[in-house]
Amino acid sequence: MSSDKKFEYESLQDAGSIGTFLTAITEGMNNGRVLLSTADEHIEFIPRGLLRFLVKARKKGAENKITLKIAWNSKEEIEIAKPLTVGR
Amino acid sequence: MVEGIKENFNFMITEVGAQLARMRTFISSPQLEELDKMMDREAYINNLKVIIENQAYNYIHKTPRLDRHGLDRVRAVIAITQNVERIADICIDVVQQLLYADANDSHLQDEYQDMLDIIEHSFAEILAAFKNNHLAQALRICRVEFVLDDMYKTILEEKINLFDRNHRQKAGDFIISVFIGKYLEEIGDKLLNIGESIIFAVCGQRIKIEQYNALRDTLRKSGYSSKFNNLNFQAIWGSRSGCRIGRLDASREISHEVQKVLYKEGSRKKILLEKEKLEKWEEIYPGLVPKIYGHNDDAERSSLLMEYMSGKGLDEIISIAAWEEVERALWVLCRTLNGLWRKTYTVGQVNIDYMEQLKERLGDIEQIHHDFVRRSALGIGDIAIMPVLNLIEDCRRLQKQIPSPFAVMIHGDFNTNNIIYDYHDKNIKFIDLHRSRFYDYVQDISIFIVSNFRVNVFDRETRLRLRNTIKFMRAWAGQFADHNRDRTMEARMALALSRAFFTSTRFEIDKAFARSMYMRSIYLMEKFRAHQKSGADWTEFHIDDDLFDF
Repeated sequence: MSSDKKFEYESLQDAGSIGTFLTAITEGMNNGRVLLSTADEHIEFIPRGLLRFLVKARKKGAENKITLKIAWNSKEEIEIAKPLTVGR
Repeated sequence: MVEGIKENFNFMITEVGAQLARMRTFISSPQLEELDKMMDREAYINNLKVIIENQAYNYIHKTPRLDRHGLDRVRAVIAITQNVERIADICIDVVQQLLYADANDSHLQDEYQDMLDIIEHSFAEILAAFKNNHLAQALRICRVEFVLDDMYKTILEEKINLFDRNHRQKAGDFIISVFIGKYLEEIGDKLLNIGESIIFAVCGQRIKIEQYNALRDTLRKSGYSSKFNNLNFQAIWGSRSGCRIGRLDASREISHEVQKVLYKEGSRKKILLEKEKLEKWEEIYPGLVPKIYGHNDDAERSSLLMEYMSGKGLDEIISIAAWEEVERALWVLCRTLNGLWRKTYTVGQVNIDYMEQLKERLGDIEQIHHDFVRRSALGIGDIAIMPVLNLIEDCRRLQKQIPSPFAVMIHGDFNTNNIIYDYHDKNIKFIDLHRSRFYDYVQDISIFIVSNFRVNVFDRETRLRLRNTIKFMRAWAGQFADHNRDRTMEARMALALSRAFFTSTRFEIDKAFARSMYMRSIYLMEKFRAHQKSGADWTEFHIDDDLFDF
């Protein structure tokens, strides 16, 4: 069974700094390995095959919001997590 | 339930939980400073209890259609508050008992660990049980009473046996008599409570007997008749200092002239400090602070009789008065500051200590927001995000590079509710001056700004008023800095604001709002640090106004 690993970072930034963060993630996507780390663990993401990519945006009065979401299932994990079972 | 009660109730539970933890620390290593801190918090807890009771009864009184369940919940809040406050009292009793113990030969630290574990664990369940109407959790809390009874019985039997073996005499009688004494003593406590309740019924104010006596003494010593009218005590929530402030009509002993006066009562140390500060301010800048009519300093708690100011708190003016009126008040405030700071301008650099001020309060902040003081580094790809503690430490080192070019007399706790504006006389008065000192004026500006930002009202009109008030003060501060050739004001402001945003989170239970202040604080420190790394001059540092939009 795979363990549950989480990473969260929320902050205030100017647009330029956010660009730097996005570049770090883009580079990871291009190189096939996105690394996020906390003191206790490194969470390695290997984006391979087909990934779901969602861009959501909203403008309401003074409020602006852009949401990016990339999601996928890693193949190895699926194979390990769901072995074929044969009923007795 | 109304927002105010909920918030104070949360604070009450958190605060008494912290008091339990302090008692535990004291049992394992008694430190007198810790005792001082506990006594301080005890006053605050008492205050909170009174506020919650007032709010709860008010709520019952003013909500005509309160259903049975709603009423029961308010009653439960009152009952829980009273009992929690009693637990806080017992923490103090235990700590005071320990002062009698032989410090060199004390096994006390090991004896009660199990009982303390159970108490702390069960206490930590109170909030969730109440919030979620969780019956099983509530029952668990109830059962603790029986567990503790059994544990107590075991400890007592062990002690009696031990004493019998070692001394070959009836120790049981001795120990039990001690405990009976203790119980009898507790009956005295309850009798006192009953007496005070009767005073409450008579005066309509919750006032402790020693406070009642102190008030009469203070009046008498200050040349007033010891009979008074219209006593209006309110625990002042804004000051959070554990002092009690009351307003009353007192009549002069000789002329019988009736005058509104303010009566403030609190720990000896605090009141004496306040008196000293008020006298100093009156000397430096007459008329800016309330006059002292009298002072009483008989017991551990002291009291002051002061001029009652007829104006309104600036916080109230900013949120409700017509905007022209607010602007006028702000003009008068800035004119007053200009006069005060020019008069007290003292040549010579002053080192700033904003980061030390922040570090001192980190413990209290973590009590409310455990995740704010991040101790570990984070990484996003190649980008390293340093631990919050290291960031503070870096800024602490860097702040030495930007001393204030001069000092002035600052208020030290320049919240809008410590500034009184009189509509009629168009003048400003300062109250609560116990933190005033000669220092960097940016401290006062920053606290003023954040005391506006942190108002937890979110309708558009109010936010606009708060933002404009901040803008007004920022513009004036910029002019003052230019005028006095202060070129590093914005850089110091970054650290001062960062400190004020971060430390304000400890008074804010609303997680999202607290987080927004926390993020502003971190942003300012990161910006400050990046500026230094870029090699740019401190005179070029600038804070964008949109930081103050919410």
